[in-house]
Amino acid sequence: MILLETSNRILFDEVFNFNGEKRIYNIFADFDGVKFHTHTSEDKQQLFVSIQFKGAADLLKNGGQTYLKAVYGPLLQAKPEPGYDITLIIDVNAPNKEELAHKVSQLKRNLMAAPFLMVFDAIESKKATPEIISIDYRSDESFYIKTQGDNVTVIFDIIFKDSDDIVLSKIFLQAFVDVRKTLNNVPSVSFSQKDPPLELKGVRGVRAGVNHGFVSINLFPGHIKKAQETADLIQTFRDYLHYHIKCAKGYMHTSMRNRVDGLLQVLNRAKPEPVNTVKRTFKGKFFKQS
Amino acid sequence: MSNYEEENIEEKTTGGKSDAEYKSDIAAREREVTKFLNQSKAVDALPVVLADPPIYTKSQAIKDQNAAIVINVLSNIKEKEIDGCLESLDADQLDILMKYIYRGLAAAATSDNTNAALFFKWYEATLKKAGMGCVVRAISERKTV
Amino acid sequence: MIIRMIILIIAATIMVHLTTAQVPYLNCIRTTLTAAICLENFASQIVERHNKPEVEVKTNKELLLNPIVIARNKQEKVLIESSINSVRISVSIKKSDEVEVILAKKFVRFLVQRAENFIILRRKPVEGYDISFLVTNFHTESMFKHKLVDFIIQFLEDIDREVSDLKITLNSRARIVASEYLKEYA
Repeated sequence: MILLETSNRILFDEVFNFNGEKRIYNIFADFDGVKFHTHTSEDKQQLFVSIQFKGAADLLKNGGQTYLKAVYGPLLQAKPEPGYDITLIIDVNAPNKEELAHKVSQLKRNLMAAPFLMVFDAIESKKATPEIISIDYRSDESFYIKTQGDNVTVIFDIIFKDSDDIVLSKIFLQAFVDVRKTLNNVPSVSFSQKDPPLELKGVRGVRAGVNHGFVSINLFPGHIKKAQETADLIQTFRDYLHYHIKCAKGYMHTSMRNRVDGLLQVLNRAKPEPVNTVKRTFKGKFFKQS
Repeated sequence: MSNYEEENIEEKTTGGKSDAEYKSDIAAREREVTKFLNQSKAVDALPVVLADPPIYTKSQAIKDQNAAIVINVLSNIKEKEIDGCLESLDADQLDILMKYIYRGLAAAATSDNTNAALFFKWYEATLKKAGMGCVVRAISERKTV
Repeated sequence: MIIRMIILIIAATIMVHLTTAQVPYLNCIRTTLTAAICLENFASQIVERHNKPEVEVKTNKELLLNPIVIARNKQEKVLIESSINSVRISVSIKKSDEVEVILAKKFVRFLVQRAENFIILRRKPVEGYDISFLVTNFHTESMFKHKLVDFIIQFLEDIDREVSDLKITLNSRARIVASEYLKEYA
């Protein structure tokens, strides 16, 4: 599995297996600090699905509200449950369970995709777009969408807590920049450590510092046409990068562990074989050589 | 405390020369070596630099000064000449040479312009000629160079 | 006979893997170690009923031998300090960029965490070096000396190879990851 999925498997199962017979009460998480909460109503005939997400307010403002309304229609509640940002209510008799479950499991994806889809749509239909949209989606990380003519630049502000991760991320991001040159029709990628790129000049609330990496992905009209696919990919970028950095570290550890075990064997070879000093005599007694 | 007093022992064995004599010796040796090097006859300079090393002095500066001259000569001898010039050395000279080779190997740790590979060549050739005893003496002898 | 052949094959593959530039360096270390690991039991001259590695306690100058540094360059070097009953070997690993620094650091940490099993590993490296070994007369009494030397040489080879191998795989992994992701856009 190299690419990440956008839907949430647990959520899919929950909705798909919901039959009004069992009481459900679950809280589970997803990428980007998302918390899902599912529970049944008193009579077990309705399933409440709620999501808590730091970026929800920004996302809803920038096209989220309209897009979710379009996708979920009557399922979407005007007033979310206390402590959560969005709530869907699913009826036990809802038709076409599988499609519904699939749709609900994409809740976070749809929320994240909304501003991208809004911008892409505006460019396609030559409508005016806000010059820059900033989404504060994690506790100290944000992403920005900036339109320039018919191109869209998405800038991720990614934080690495560990100093080793900064170095590893540099290798991975450099690979994105290099690989990009060998492929056709792919977005251009550039990254800068510490200082925000020029596109973010004058934007308020941009954080900077040693552990901040800024990745700009420049989407061309070709990508904007395939709005849904592009929105899927672009929103997984940060998690994709982190996921593979962790995989690389995992691989390094396994490899080192093997190497260390090999070395240990070499050292143990230096010990002479223990001489078996206790022997059993014919009568079954033990005879000890000293 | 210990029944062995390093200071006393060294006092007794201090044969050789005083620091001042060593200093003038080294200056003379340097001139001689430069002459050989200018004529690009580094091979002939080798016995000269290996004669009478300042082993009795306690001044590290004098030892360093002499070592610099020896290492300079060693670096100027070509790889294929190494075996040839070892032929003419006796056991004592080989011992002294080995000590200087170790100094040369250590030099690469502190300066960038030392050619460590050359000293590994020297080491290999000297080891072949003089044997393990030479290495043991380089590690254990008090008469450091 | 079969075991002999297997050993020969293993030895041959190891030789192939060795970078030729490294061979004289390792040979030099090997002979120096063979000469230096020449230890006997020696109780402290100063404290009654103490028997400590003299190279660590350094209480008597006459029990210590000349420390030897063997260096390929500023970073790749070993320090061999010998004494009457113990030898301390400190290794500094080549680190040409920040990735190699991380890899070397991680590898050393893996080893130190297993110091209990690596009997001769010193828990803390000597200052200026990445990792140290301490061989005492008790080790040479219970283990073969030439195999101890083999181990240290093997260690030096392995750590270099591991660092460069991991660096290569890391770079190729990054390329695959990047191209798989970007391809999806096309």
